[in-house]
Amino acid sequence: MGAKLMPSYAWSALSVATVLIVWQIASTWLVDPMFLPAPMAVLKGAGQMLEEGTLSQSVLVSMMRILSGWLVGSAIAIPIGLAVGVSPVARHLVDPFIHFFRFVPAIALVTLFIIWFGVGEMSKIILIAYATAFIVMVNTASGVSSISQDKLNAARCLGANERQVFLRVMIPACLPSIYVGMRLALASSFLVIAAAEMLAADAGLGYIIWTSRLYFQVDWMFAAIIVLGLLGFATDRLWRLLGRTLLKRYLRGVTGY
Amino acid sequence: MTNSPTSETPPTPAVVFDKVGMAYPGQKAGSELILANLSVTVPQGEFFVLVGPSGSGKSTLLKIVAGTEKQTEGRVLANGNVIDGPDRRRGMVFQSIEEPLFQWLTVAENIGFGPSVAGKSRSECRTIAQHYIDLVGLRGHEAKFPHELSGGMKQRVQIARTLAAEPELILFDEPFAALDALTRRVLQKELTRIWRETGCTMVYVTHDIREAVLLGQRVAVMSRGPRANITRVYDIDLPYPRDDLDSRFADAVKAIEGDIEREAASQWEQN
Ligand SMILES: Nc1ncnc2c1ncn2[C@@H]1O[C@H](COP(=O)(O)OP(=O)(O)OP(=O)(O)O)[C@@H](O)[C@H]1O
Ligand SMILES: [Mg+2]
Repeated sequence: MGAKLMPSYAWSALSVATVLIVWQIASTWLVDPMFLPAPMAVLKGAGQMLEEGTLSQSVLVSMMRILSGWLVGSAIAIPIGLAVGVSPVARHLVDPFIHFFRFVPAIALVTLFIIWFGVGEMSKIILIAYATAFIVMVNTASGVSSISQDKLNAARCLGANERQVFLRVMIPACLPSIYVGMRLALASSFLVIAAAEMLAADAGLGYIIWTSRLYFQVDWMFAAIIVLGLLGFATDRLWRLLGRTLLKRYLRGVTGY
Repeated sequence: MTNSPTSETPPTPAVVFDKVGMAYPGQKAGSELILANLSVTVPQGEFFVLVGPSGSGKSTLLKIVAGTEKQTEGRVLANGNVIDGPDRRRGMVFQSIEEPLFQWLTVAENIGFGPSVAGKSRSECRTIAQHYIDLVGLRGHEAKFPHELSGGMKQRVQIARTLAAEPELILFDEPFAALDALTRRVLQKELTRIWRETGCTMVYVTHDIREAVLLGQRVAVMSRGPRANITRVYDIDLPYPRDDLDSRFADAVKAIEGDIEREAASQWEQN
């Protein structure tokens, strides 16, 4: 429906443009721009921060934290998730912790981690790693345990030993779950970074959002929020692109949306 | 070769079931056995077909031969040796069309899986795979992924993949049950040809008595479970390729059908 009318991305462009126009109208005539700065004002605020260098520096700092925390968290979670999926003993050992900590939000641990790991990079990276790990772990483990017995037995009957079954069947078969888990975890890393940088940081997008309040620079706040959203959008697209190209044969069916 | 009349020791049978009983580990203790006191011998190179009611334990019997399940009573021998886990020499073609294939591998890579885990080089795997691709008529589809194939083609991949591991015995668990009648016919014909070309022992499970008579040298009928057993084994003495319009074919089907009906009726009276 309507696909013929114009190319698909044009629909997205149209809806974004509409929202921007409504926003511009609202902040010009309906709402005090002190509370809702117009898109143009936000753009100007972003320009100011870019000139000062704070914006690009903050983007770099925040992305560094997000990506390292995300990768560290995944690197820890994937082996544990695989072990839990493969071995009932590992599963019973780790299960109580997984299903306890999975419900303790990272944001609840921000202050604790600052006390433990200081106000430096460490506490933020660990926090992101924490937020990432349980999502990736649960996805990996459920991916392994949902591999059909027929698939594993087929490999065994073709002469594969248990090591080969693990490396050549289990891992490829649960890559989609790992991939989806990491994608969800990436999104939650962006949620957590904002909270972490609000409490203890001297740079980063969360820091800008928090400190703009002090100077009542709502336009800066908006600029940082939008940049955070755009970064998340861009990283998610990159991850999806990776899934659709390099890992395509493993991830058919999970890179559709 | 298996039929050569030698005065020396007879060749070791491909499979021997000796008073086998089976209960799954998850079953309640003391609940009845699925298979009980089941004995049967399959000679080398035979096309052996097993028919029987749903839930009687046909798949269970195949899994025991494959080595993915272990019987709880009695002995099972393959080539004279006690079965200890799955083995390349005992291949399995599953009923499920989607699950057994490796969806991240191409047709050629799926078929080359057996040679590859056996340590053969990439080019050797390709050569072996190509041989079996040709044998099952999948030429031109080597580079496709399973999701790009029809159901019948997927079952051909499974068969070719099993053959490429060079088994001595192949177990089939209703491999064509989920296919349309036409595809099924074509694959049944090809299977008898492959059997005669490779000389493998075949153990084939089906619900379909016509299929059983079309394929098998012997057709074993299993009783309803629990405590299922093989009640009778029919010799189907018809030449291959078989013609289901032949009156002897129809007679064989009728005889087995009658037997199964009597079996069902006797069960009915007992209950
Ligand atoms: N993993 C299992 N654990 C416990 N019981 C099982 C298991 N697999 C099968 N059974 C039981 O064993 C019996 C025989 O099952 P099986 O799958 O061997 O039957 P079948 O003859 O192959 O039936 P069908 O023709 O429907 O495929 C059934 O009663 C079934 O419920
Ligand atoms: Mg079955």
